[in-house]
Amino acid sequence: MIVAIPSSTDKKDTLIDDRFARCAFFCFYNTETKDIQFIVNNFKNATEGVGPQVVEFLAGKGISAVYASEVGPKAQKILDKLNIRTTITGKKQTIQQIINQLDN
Amino acid sequence: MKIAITSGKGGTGKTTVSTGLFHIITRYLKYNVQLLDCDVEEPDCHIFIKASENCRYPVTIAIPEIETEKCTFCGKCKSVCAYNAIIMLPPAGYIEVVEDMCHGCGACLYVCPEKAIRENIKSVGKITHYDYYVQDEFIEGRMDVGSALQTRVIRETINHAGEDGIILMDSPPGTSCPVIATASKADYVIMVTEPTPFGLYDLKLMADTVRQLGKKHGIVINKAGFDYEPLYNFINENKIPILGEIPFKREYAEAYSKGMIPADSDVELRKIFMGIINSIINGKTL
Repeated sequence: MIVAIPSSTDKKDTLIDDRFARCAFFCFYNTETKDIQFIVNNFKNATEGVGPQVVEFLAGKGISAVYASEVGPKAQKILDKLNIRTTITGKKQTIQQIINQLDN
Repeated sequence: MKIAITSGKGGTGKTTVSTGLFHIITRYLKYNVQLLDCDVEEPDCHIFIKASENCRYPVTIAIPEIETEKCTFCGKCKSVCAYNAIIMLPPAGYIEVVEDMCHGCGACLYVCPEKAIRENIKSVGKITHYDYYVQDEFIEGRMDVGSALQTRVIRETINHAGEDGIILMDSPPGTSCPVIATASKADYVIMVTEPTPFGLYDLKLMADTVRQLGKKHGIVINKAGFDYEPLYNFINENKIPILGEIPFKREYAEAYSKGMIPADSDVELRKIFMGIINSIINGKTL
């Protein structure tokens, strides 16, 4: 399963980004292969309806779960419809800490 | 002649000026006049204009619905959608219109080669006509709770106005889309401000907006009497005409808080409002 985590930089030791759809980077973590990938979020500064567009982008990348500290209502609705599981995490966690949780 | 009453900052006196001008014109002057409450998120002119309801019209938009069985996922609808309201995932066989983001323009319906899109009518607000001294003199736009399409309700409200005479439009505050939707339909824009740093800051934004819209404009200073020089400096430097100054008086605030029109009983204020109207219509035939 590939998990998407909003990240404030492209390093594992940074905190997750408070904003889901407007985060700086997305960290894609593959729980089977342990592969970690950081992708720039091109929707960060889009004007309107960022949430649904980001979900569409993530779903296109084969994501099946999202770990975030907050998800907007429009994005959440579509995540639910696409059966992408959302887990709400604490705000002060690093990407590494979330990966550790996923591994255990 | 359509006159928009704007401010930038909220609480400077848009409604005081709109309802004051409206009342003075309809009661004491010979012009035909209509008042439109375009602050559709929180219309409040009706508190001061005690008029009787005449009739009511719904404001609707057509929200498209995509029949997934007929859809071939060609993506034409998505590419023409200016509001990114269509979410499409061909591998998942998923396509849907995000209702909250749709403006009901109908472009997707027009381009769909499979005729897989139909429209459902959805209410976004209502428009109420009121009789004051004259029939249909006051028209209020009001958005439905939960709706986010202010501009649609505002445009529709303005469409309900007549063609002749003076049409006063009480604008929403700020300088965003709803204000543009109101001011862009005006022949003249009144900017209401107050002698405070906040009033000046937002006046600058509004003055910029009005200049870009290319509209004739002037300023009404409400709560005047405080010696705040930067405001007057800005007005002088930019050569914007001051149409009138409404002094800061406890009696005005008291009357307003009771839902009364202060200009109704106060001769001085009545003269100020008449001055504002004369400044605007001088040189322009109605």
